[in-house]
Amino acid sequence: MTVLILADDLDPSADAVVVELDKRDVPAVRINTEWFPVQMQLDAEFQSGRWTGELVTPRHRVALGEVRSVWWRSPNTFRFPKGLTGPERQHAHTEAKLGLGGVLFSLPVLWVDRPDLAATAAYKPLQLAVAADAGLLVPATLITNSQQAMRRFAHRHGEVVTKMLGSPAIHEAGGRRVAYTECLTDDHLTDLGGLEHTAHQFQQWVAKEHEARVIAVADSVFAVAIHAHSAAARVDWRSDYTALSYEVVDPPATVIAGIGRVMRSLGLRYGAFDFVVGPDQEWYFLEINPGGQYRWLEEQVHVPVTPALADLLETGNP
Amino acid sequence: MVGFLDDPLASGSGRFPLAASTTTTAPTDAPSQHGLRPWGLRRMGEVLRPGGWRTGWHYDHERQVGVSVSGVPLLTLRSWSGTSTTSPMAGPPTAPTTPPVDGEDPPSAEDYVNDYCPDQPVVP
Repeated sequence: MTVLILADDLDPSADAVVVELDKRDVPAVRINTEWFPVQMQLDAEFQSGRWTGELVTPRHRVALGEVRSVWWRSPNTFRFPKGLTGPERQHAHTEAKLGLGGVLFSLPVLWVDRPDLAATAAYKPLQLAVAADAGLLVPATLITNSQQAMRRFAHRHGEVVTKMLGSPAIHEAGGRRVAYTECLTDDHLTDLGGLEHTAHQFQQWVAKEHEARVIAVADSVFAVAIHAHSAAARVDWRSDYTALSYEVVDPPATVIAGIGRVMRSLGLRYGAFDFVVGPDQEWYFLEINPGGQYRWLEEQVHVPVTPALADLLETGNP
Repeated sequence: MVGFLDDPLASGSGRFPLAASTTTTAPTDAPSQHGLRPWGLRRMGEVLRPGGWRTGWHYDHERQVGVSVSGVPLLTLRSWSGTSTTSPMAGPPTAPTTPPVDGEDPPSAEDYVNDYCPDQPVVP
Protein backbone atom coordinates (compact mmCIF):
# COMPACT_ATOMS: atom_id res chain seq x y z
CA MET A 1 0.00 0.00 0.00
CA THR A 2 1.30 3.39 -1.00
CA VAL A 3 1.24 6.87 0.50
CA LEU A 4 0.44 9.41 -2.19
CA ILE A 5 1.92 12.87 -1.63
CA LEU A 6 0.67 15.77 -3.70
CA ALA A 7 3.02 18.70 -3.32
CA ASP A 8 4.93 21.48 -4.97
CA ASP A 9 8.30 20.37 -6.32
CA LEU A 10 9.98 22.63 -3.79
CA ASP A 11 8.57 21.67 -0.42
CA PRO A 12 10.95 20.77 2.40
CA SER A 13 8.18 19.30 4.51
CA ALA A 14 7.27 16.94 1.71
CA ASP A 15 10.96 16.10 1.30
CA ALA A 16 11.18 15.24 4.98
CA VAL A 17 8.14 12.98 4.94
CA VAL A 18 9.36 11.21 1.79
CA VAL A 19 12.65 10.47 3.55
CA GLU A 20 10.90 9.35 6.74
CA LEU A 21 8.58 6.98 4.89
CA ASP A 22 11.52 5.60 2.97
CA LYS A 23 13.31 4.85 6.25
CA ARG A 24 10.26 2.89 7.30
CA ASP A 25 10.07 1.03 3.99
CA VAL A 26 6.65 2.50 3.43
CA PRO A 27 6.06 2.97 -0.31
CA ALA A 28 5.39 6.59 -1.19
CA VAL A 29 4.84 8.31 -4.49
CA ARG A 30 5.07 12.07 -4.69
CA ILE A 31 3.42 13.95 -7.49
CA ASN A 32 2.82 17.55 -8.40
CA THR A 33 -0.36 18.15 -10.34
CA GLU A 34 1.69 20.63 -12.36
CA TRP A 35 3.20 17.60 -14.09
CA PHE A 36 -0.18 16.71 -15.57
CA PRO A 37 -0.62 16.16 -18.46
CA VAL A 38 2.86 16.72 -19.91
CA GLN A 39 4.90 14.67 -17.44
CA MET A 40 2.25 12.53 -15.84
CA GLN A 41 -0.31 10.12 -17.20
CA LEU A 42 -3.60 9.09 -15.69
CA ASP A 43 -5.14 5.75 -16.63
CA ALA A 44 -8.27 5.26 -14.57
CA GLU A 45 -11.06 2.84 -15.39
CA PHE A 46 -14.29 2.45 -13.49
CA GLN A 47 -15.27 -1.17 -13.24
CA SER A 48 -16.92 -3.38 -10.66
CA GLY A 49 -17.94 -0.34 -8.65
CA ARG A 50 -14.56 1.30 -8.18
CA TRP A 51 -11.77 3.11 -9.94
CA THR A 52 -8.77 1.09 -10.95
CA GLY A 53 -5.71 2.02 -12.93
CA GLU A 54 -2.61 4.04 -12.23
CA LEU A 55 -0.82 7.33 -12.17
CA VAL A 56 2.52 7.37 -13.93
CA THR A 57 5.20 9.98 -13.23
CA PRO A 58 8.60 10.28 -14.92
CA ARG A 59 10.11 7.73 -12.51
CA HIS A 60 7.29 6.20 -10.51
CA ARG A 61 3.86 4.73 -10.87
CA VAL A 62 1.13 4.15 -8.36
CA ALA A 63 -1.86 1.88 -8.70
CA LEU A 64 -5.02 3.65 -7.60
CA GLY A 65 -6.14 0.60 -5.66
CA GLU A 66 -2.87 0.53 -3.74
CA VAL A 67 -3.16 4.02 -2.26
CA ARG A 68 -3.58 3.95 1.50
CA SER A 69 -3.52 7.68 2.20
CA VAL A 70 -3.10 11.02 0.48
CA TRP A 71 -1.14 13.97 1.84
CA TRP A 72 -2.37 17.14 0.21
CA ARG A 73 0.33 19.84 0.20
CA SER A 74 -1.16 22.40 -2.15
CA PRO A 75 0.30 21.16 -5.43
CA ASN A 76 0.46 23.49 -8.40
CA THR A 77 -2.02 23.94 -11.17
CA PHE A 78 -1.80 21.90 -14.34
CA ARG A 79 0.65 22.85 -17.04
CA PHE A 80 -0.43 22.35 -20.62
CA PRO A 81 1.49 22.26 -23.88
CA LYS A 82 2.41 25.63 -25.29
CA GLY A 83 0.32 26.77 -28.19
CA LEU A 84 -3.11 26.12 -26.73
CA THR A 85 -5.45 29.07 -27.04
CA GLY A 86 -7.05 30.61 -23.98
CA PRO A 87 -10.36 28.81 -24.43
CA GLU A 88 -8.56 25.56 -25.18
CA ARG A 89 -6.44 25.96 -22.08
CA GLN A 90 -9.48 26.68 -19.92
CA HIS A 91 -11.24 23.65 -21.33
CA ALA A 92 -8.21 21.47 -20.73
CA HIS A 93 -7.91 22.81 -17.20
CA THR A 94 -11.50 22.08 -16.31
CA GLU A 95 -11.37 18.60 -17.76
CA ALA A 96 -8.11 17.87 -15.98
CA LYS A 97 -9.41 19.06 -12.66
CA LEU A 98 -12.68 17.19 -12.87
CA GLY A 99 -10.97 14.10 -14.24
CA LEU A 100 -7.81 13.78 -12.18
CA GLY A 101 -9.28 15.52 -9.15
CA GLY A 102 -12.44 13.48 -9.34
CA VAL A 103 -10.63 10.16 -9.55
CA LEU A 104 -8.45 11.07 -6.57
CA PHE A 105 -11.44 12.25 -4.58
CA SER A 106 -13.15 8.94 -5.15
CA LEU A 107 -10.41 6.94 -3.48
CA PRO A 108 -11.66 5.56 -0.16
CA VAL A 109 -8.53 6.56 1.71
CA LEU A 110 -7.35 8.91 4.44
CA TRP A 111 -6.80 12.48 3.23
CA VAL A 112 -4.50 14.82 5.09
CA ASP A 113 -6.26 17.15 4.42
CA ARG A 114 -9.19 16.87 2.08
CA PRO A 115 -8.65 19.74 -0.35
CA ASP A 116 -12.24 20.93 -0.26
CA LEU A 117 -12.15 21.11 3.53
CA ALA A 118 -8.78 22.84 3.46
CA ALA A 119 -10.23 25.38 1.04
CA THR A 120 -13.16 26.04 3.33
CA ALA A 121 -10.86 26.37 6.32
CA ALA A 122 -8.90 29.06 4.50
CA TYR A 123 -11.65 31.59 5.18
CA LYS A 124 -10.38 33.50 8.19
CA PRO A 125 -13.74 34.86 9.36
CA LEU A 126 -14.96 31.28 9.49
CA GLN A 127 -11.85 30.30 11.42
CA LEU A 128 -12.49 32.92 14.07
CA ALA A 129 -16.08 31.82 14.54
CA VAL A 130 -15.12 28.16 14.75
CA ALA A 131 -12.29 28.91 17.17
CA ALA A 132 -14.53 30.93 19.49
CA ASP A 133 -17.13 28.19 19.37
CA ALA A 134 -14.38 25.75 20.32
CA GLY A 135 -13.65 27.74 23.44
CA LEU A 136 -10.53 29.56 22.28
CA LEU A 137 -10.00 33.24 23.00
CA VAL A 138 -10.31 35.33 19.84
CA PRO A 139 -9.38 39.03 19.58
CA ALA A 140 -12.12 41.44 18.55
CA THR A 141 -12.03 41.65 14.78
CA LEU A 142 -13.59 43.92 12.18
CA ILE A 143 -13.99 43.14 8.51
CA THR A 144 -15.31 46.05 6.57
CA ASN A 145 -15.12 48.32 3.57
CA SER A 146 -16.62 51.18 5.61
CA GLN A 147 -14.36 54.00 6.76
CA GLN A 148 -16.88 54.87 9.44
CA ALA A 149 -16.90 51.34 10.80
CA MET A 150 -13.14 51.25 10.79
CA ARG A 151 -12.88 54.51 12.77
CA ARG A 152 -15.49 53.25 15.21
CA PHE A 153 -13.53 50.06 15.78
CA ALA A 154 -10.25 51.91 16.22
CA HIS A 155 -11.84 54.34 18.67
CA ARG A 156 -13.30 51.50 20.70
CA HIS A 157 -10.18 49.37 20.92
CA GLY A 158 -7.38 51.90 20.82
CA GLU A 159 -4.55 49.73 19.59
CA VAL A 160 -5.51 47.98 16.38
CA VAL A 161 -3.63 46.06 13.71
CA THR A 162 -4.52 45.47 10.10
CA LYS A 163 -3.72 42.25 8.32
CA MET A 164 -4.64 40.55 5.10
CA LEU A 165 -7.44 38.04 4.89
CA GLY A 166 -5.69 36.12 2.15
CA SER A 167 -2.32 36.34 0.57
CA PRO A 168 0.05 38.92 2.04
CA ALA A 169 1.70 39.38 -1.34
CA ILE A 170 0.94 40.56 -4.83
CA HIS A 171 2.82 40.79 -8.07
CA GLU A 172 2.64 44.11 -9.83
CA ALA A 173 4.84 46.40 -11.85
CA GLY A 174 6.99 43.39 -12.60
CA GLY A 175 7.93 42.86 -8.98
CA ARG A 176 6.69 41.19 -5.88
CA ARG A 177 5.41 43.07 -2.87
CA VAL A 178 4.47 41.89 0.59
CA ALA A 179 2.45 43.43 3.40
CA TYR A 180 2.94 42.31 6.95
CA THR A 181 0.61 42.87 9.86
CA GLU A 182 0.86 46.52 10.86
CA CYS A 183 -0.23 48.60 13.85
CA LEU A 184 -2.52 51.46 12.97
CA THR A 185 -1.44 55.00 13.73
CA ASP A 186 -3.20 58.36 13.57
CA ASP A 187 -1.69 58.82 10.13
CA HIS A 188 -3.55 55.78 8.90
CA LEU A 189 -6.83 57.18 10.13
CA THR A 190 -6.46 60.53 8.41
CA ASP A 191 -6.63 59.04 4.95
CA LEU A 192 -8.61 55.88 4.45
CA GLY A 193 -9.23 56.34 0.74
CA GLY A 194 -9.56 53.02 -1.04
CA LEU A 195 -10.74 51.19 2.05
CA GLU A 196 -14.19 51.11 0.51
CA HIS A 197 -12.96 49.20 -2.52
CA THR A 198 -12.66 45.80 -0.90
CA ALA A 199 -12.94 44.02 2.45
CA HIS A 200 -10.25 44.86 5.01
CA GLN A 201 -9.48 43.11 8.26
CA PHE A 202 -8.68 44.92 11.50
CA GLN A 203 -8.02 43.28 14.79
CA GLN A 204 -7.68 44.39 18.37
CA TRP A 205 -4.01 44.42 19.35
CA VAL A 206 -3.41 41.80 22.00
CA ALA A 207 -0.57 42.46 24.39
CA LYS A 208 1.89 39.71 23.72
CA GLU A 209 4.68 38.08 25.60
CA HIS A 210 5.38 35.91 22.61
CA GLU A 211 3.61 34.11 19.81
CA ALA A 212 3.26 30.42 19.23
CA ARG A 213 2.81 28.17 16.27
CA VAL A 214 1.03 24.98 17.16
CA ILE A 215 1.07 22.12 14.71
CA ALA A 216 -1.78 19.67 15.06
CA VAL A 217 -1.44 16.25 13.46
CA ALA A 218 -4.58 14.25 14.15
CA ASP A 219 -4.63 14.08 17.95
CA SER A 220 -1.01 15.14 18.44
CA VAL A 221 -0.10 18.75 19.18
CA PHE A 222 3.35 20.31 18.86
CA ALA A 223 3.70 23.84 20.19
CA VAL A 224 6.63 26.17 19.69
CA ALA A 225 6.94 29.61 21.24
CA ILE A 226 8.26 32.23 18.85
CA HIS A 227 10.11 34.98 20.68
CA ALA A 228 10.60 38.19 18.75
CA HIS A 229 13.62 40.39 19.40
CA SER A 230 12.93 43.31 17.09
CA ALA A 231 10.15 45.85 16.87
CA ALA A 232 9.00 44.59 13.49
CA ALA A 233 9.01 40.96 14.54
CA ARG A 234 6.99 41.76 17.64
CA VAL A 235 4.14 42.86 15.39
CA ASP A 236 4.57 40.16 12.75
CA TRP A 237 7.27 37.57 13.25
CA ARG A 238 7.36 36.78 9.56
CA SER A 239 8.82 40.20 8.89
CA ASP A 240 12.17 39.52 10.56
CA TYR A 241 13.22 35.91 10.85
CA THR A 242 16.70 36.86 11.97
CA ALA A 243 15.24 38.32 15.18
CA LEU A 244 13.46 35.18 16.31
CA SER A 245 14.22 32.49 18.83
CA TYR A 246 12.22 29.37 19.49
CA GLU A 247 11.25 27.21 22.41
CA VAL A 248 9.09 24.12 22.79
CA VAL A 249 6.17 24.88 25.07
CA ASP A 250 3.12 23.12 26.46
CA PRO A 251 -0.14 24.89 25.75
CA PRO A 252 -2.75 24.92 28.50
CA ALA A 253 -5.09 21.96 28.48
CA THR A 254 -7.99 24.22 27.54
CA VAL A 255 -6.11 25.39 24.45
CA ILE A 256 -5.25 21.85 23.40
CA ALA A 257 -8.88 20.87 23.81
CA GLY A 258 -9.95 23.88 21.78
CA ILE A 259 -7.51 23.03 19.01
CA GLY A 260 -8.97 19.54 18.85
CA ARG A 261 -12.47 20.93 18.54
CA VAL A 262 -11.41 23.30 15.76
CA MET A 263 -9.77 20.45 13.87
CA ARG A 264 -12.85 18.29 14.15
CA SER A 265 -15.19 21.12 13.26
CA LEU A 266 -13.23 21.93 10.12
CA GLY A 267 -12.66 18.27 9.30
CA LEU A 268 -8.88 18.63 9.30
CA ARG A 269 -6.15 16.12 10.17
CA TYR A 270 -3.34 18.65 9.88
CA GLY A 271 -3.31 22.31 10.78
CA ALA A 272 -0.84 25.03 11.73
CA PHE A 273 -2.30 27.31 14.38
CA ASP A 274 -0.95 30.74 15.28
CA PHE A 275 -1.53 32.17 18.74
CA VAL A 276 -0.55 35.23 20.72
CA VAL A 277 0.40 34.44 24.29
CA GLY A 278 -0.16 37.40 26.57
CA PRO A 279 1.75 38.47 29.67
CA ASP A 280 -1.10 36.88 31.61
CA GLN A 281 -0.32 33.60 29.80
CA GLU A 282 -3.66 33.62 28.08
CA TRP A 283 -3.56 32.15 24.55
CA TYR A 284 -5.37 34.10 21.82
CA PHE A 285 -6.19 32.39 18.55
CA LEU A 286 -5.09 34.26 15.43
CA GLU A 287 -5.54 31.80 12.61
CA ILE A 288 -5.15 28.28 11.34
CA ASN A 289 -3.54 27.34 8.07
CA PRO A 290 -4.32 23.82 6.85
CA GLY A 291 -1.20 24.00 4.72
CA GLY A 292 1.02 25.86 7.16
CA GLN A 293 4.71 25.12 7.33
CA TYR A 294 6.40 23.31 10.17
CA ARG A 295 9.72 22.15 8.83
CA TRP A 296 11.76 25.11 9.99
CA LEU A 297 10.48 24.62 13.54
CA GLU A 298 11.35 20.96 13.44
CA GLU A 299 14.84 21.94 12.47
CA GLN A 300 15.13 24.60 15.15
CA VAL A 301 13.71 22.80 18.17
CA HIS A 302 13.26 19.22 16.99
CA VAL A 303 9.51 18.93 17.39
CA PRO A 304 8.78 15.54 15.81
CA VAL A 305 6.11 16.60 13.33
CA THR A 306 7.47 14.59 10.42
CA PRO A 307 7.30 11.25 12.32
CA ALA A 308 3.78 12.10 13.44
CA LEU A 309 2.73 12.80 9.87
CA ALA A 310 4.41 9.61 8.71
CA ASP A 311 2.58 7.67 11.42
CA LEU A 312 -0.73 9.09 10.28
CA LEU A 313 -0.11 8.52 6.58
CA GLU A 314 1.30 5.05 7.15
CA THR A 315 -1.75 4.01 9.14
CA GLY A 316 -4.26 5.34 6.64
CA ASN A 317 -7.89 4.84 7.37
CA PRO A 318 -8.42 2.89 10.57
CA MET B 1 -11.98 34.65 -16.14
CA VAL B 2 -13.19 34.14 -12.60
CA GLY B 3 -11.07 32.38 -10.00
CA PHE B 4 -12.12 30.77 -6.78
CA LEU B 5 -11.33 33.81 -4.67
CA ASP B 6 -13.73 35.80 -6.83
CA ASP B 7 -16.42 33.19 -6.37
CA PRO B 8 -17.26 32.74 -2.70
CA LEU B 9 -19.85 30.11 -3.51
CA ALA B 10 -17.34 27.37 -4.08
CA SER B 11 -17.48 25.95 -7.54
CA GLY B 12 -16.62 22.42 -8.44
CA SER B 13 -13.21 23.74 -9.33
CA GLY B 14 -12.81 25.28 -5.92
CA ARG B 15 -13.25 21.94 -4.25
CA PHE B 16 -9.95 20.79 -5.73
CA PRO B 17 -7.90 23.93 -5.28
CA LEU B 18 -4.52 24.11 -6.90
CA ALA B 19 -1.82 26.64 -6.29
CA ALA B 20 -0.91 28.89 -9.18
CA SER B 21 1.66 27.85 -11.70
CA THR B 22 5.30 28.12 -10.74
CA THR B 23 6.10 29.45 -14.17
CA THR B 24 3.64 32.29 -14.34
CA THR B 25 5.10 35.59 -15.45
CA ALA B 26 4.73 38.41 -12.95
CA PRO B 27 2.08 40.91 -14.05
CA THR B 28 3.44 44.28 -15.04
CA ASP B 29 0.37 46.28 -14.03
CA ALA B 30 1.27 49.45 -12.20
CA PRO B 31 -0.57 50.40 -8.99
CA SER B 32 -3.79 52.31 -9.54
CA GLN B 33 -4.22 55.87 -8.39
CA HIS B 34 -4.41 56.88 -4.75
CA GLY B 35 -7.94 56.52 -3.48
CA LEU B 36 -8.80 53.83 -5.97
CA ARG B 37 -6.13 51.36 -4.92
CA PRO B 38 -7.42 49.26 -2.02
CA TRP B 39 -6.28 50.85 1.23
CA GLY B 40 -4.72 47.64 2.49
CA LEU B 41 -2.22 47.62 -0.35
CA ARG B 42 -0.60 50.86 0.77
CA ARG B 43 1.71 49.07 3.12
CA MET B 44 2.97 46.73 0.45
CA GLY B 45 6.74 46.74 0.32
CA GLU B 46 9.32 45.17 -1.90
CA VAL B 47 10.53 41.75 -0.91
CA LEU B 48 14.15 41.85 0.09
CA ARG B 49 15.57 38.62 -1.06
CA PRO B 50 19.14 37.58 -1.63
CA GLY B 51 19.41 36.35 -5.15
CA GLY B 52 16.70 34.87 -7.21
CA TRP B 53 13.90 32.59 -6.34
CA ARG B 54 14.07 28.97 -7.20
CA THR B 55 17.59 28.90 -8.44
CA GLY B 56 20.27 26.37 -7.79
CA TRP B 57 18.06 23.37 -7.29
CA HIS B 58 15.86 20.93 -9.11
CA TYR B 59 13.42 18.18 -8.31
CA ASP B 60 14.87 14.68 -8.38
CA HIS B 61 12.14 12.44 -9.75
CA GLU B 62 13.97 9.31 -8.68
CA ARG B 63 14.49 10.28 -5.04
CA GLN B 64 11.34 12.42 -4.94
CA VAL B 65 13.01 15.32 -3.15
CA GLY B 66 14.49 18.67 -4.07
CA VAL B 67 18.24 18.60 -4.66
CA SER B 68 21.00 21.09 -5.35
CA VAL B 69 22.69 21.45 -8.71
CA SER B 70 25.16 18.78 -7.66
CA GLY B 71 22.44 16.46 -6.46
CA VAL B 72 22.64 17.04 -2.71
CA PRO B 73 19.20 16.88 -1.07
CA LEU B 74 18.14 20.36 0.00
CA LEU B 75 17.16 18.97 3.38
CA THR B 76 20.78 18.29 4.18
CA LEU B 77 22.04 21.77 3.28
CA ARG B 78 22.81 23.88 6.25
CA SER B 79 22.18 27.38 5.01
CA TRP B 80 21.84 29.28 1.80
CA SER B 81 23.68 32.18 3.37
CA GLY B 82 26.41 30.08 4.87
CA THR B 83 26.60 32.40 7.87
CA SER B 84 23.19 32.52 9.39
CA THR B 85 22.62 31.04 12.79
CA THR B 86 18.93 30.96 12.09
CA SER B 87 17.14 28.26 10.24
CA PRO B 88 18.05 27.86 6.62
CA MET B 89 14.39 27.07 6.17
CA ALA B 90 13.17 30.41 7.41
CA GLY B 91 13.12 33.69 5.64
CA PRO B 92 10.97 36.34 4.07
CA PRO B 93 7.91 35.20 2.21
CA THR B 94 9.18 33.46 -0.85
CA ALA B 95 6.20 31.72 -2.26
CA PRO B 96 6.52 31.50 -6.01
CA THR B 97 2.95 32.51 -6.52
CA THR B 98 0.47 35.10 -5.41
CA PRO B 99 -3.27 34.69 -5.73
CA PRO B 100 -4.63 33.12 -8.83
CA VAL B 101 -3.17 34.35 -12.01
CA ASP B 102 -4.18 31.47 -14.18
CA GLY B 103 -7.85 31.81 -13.45
CA GLU B 104 -7.72 29.20 -10.80
CA ASP B 105 -7.86 29.07 -7.19
CA PRO B 106 -5.30 28.67 -4.43
CA PRO B 107 -7.21 28.55 -1.17
CA SER B 108 -5.22 29.89 1.72
CA ALA B 109 -2.81 31.32 -0.76
CA GLU B 110 0.86 31.30 -0.27
CA ASP B 111 1.41 31.22 3.43
CA TYR B 112 1.92 27.64 2.44
CA VAL B 113 5.51 28.38 1.61
CA ASN B 114 5.96 31.70 3.35
CA ASP B 115 8.11 30.21 5.99
CA TYR B 116 10.54 28.61 3.67
CA CYS B 117 13.38 30.27 1.90
CA PRO B 118 16.06 28.15 0.30
CA ASP B 119 16.69 30.94 -2.14
CA GLN B 120 20.25 30.07 -2.81
CA PRO B 121 21.04 26.61 -1.57
CA VAL B 122 24.72 26.21 -0.93
CA VAL B 123 26.42 22.90 -1.32
CA PRO B 124 28.30 22.16 1.92
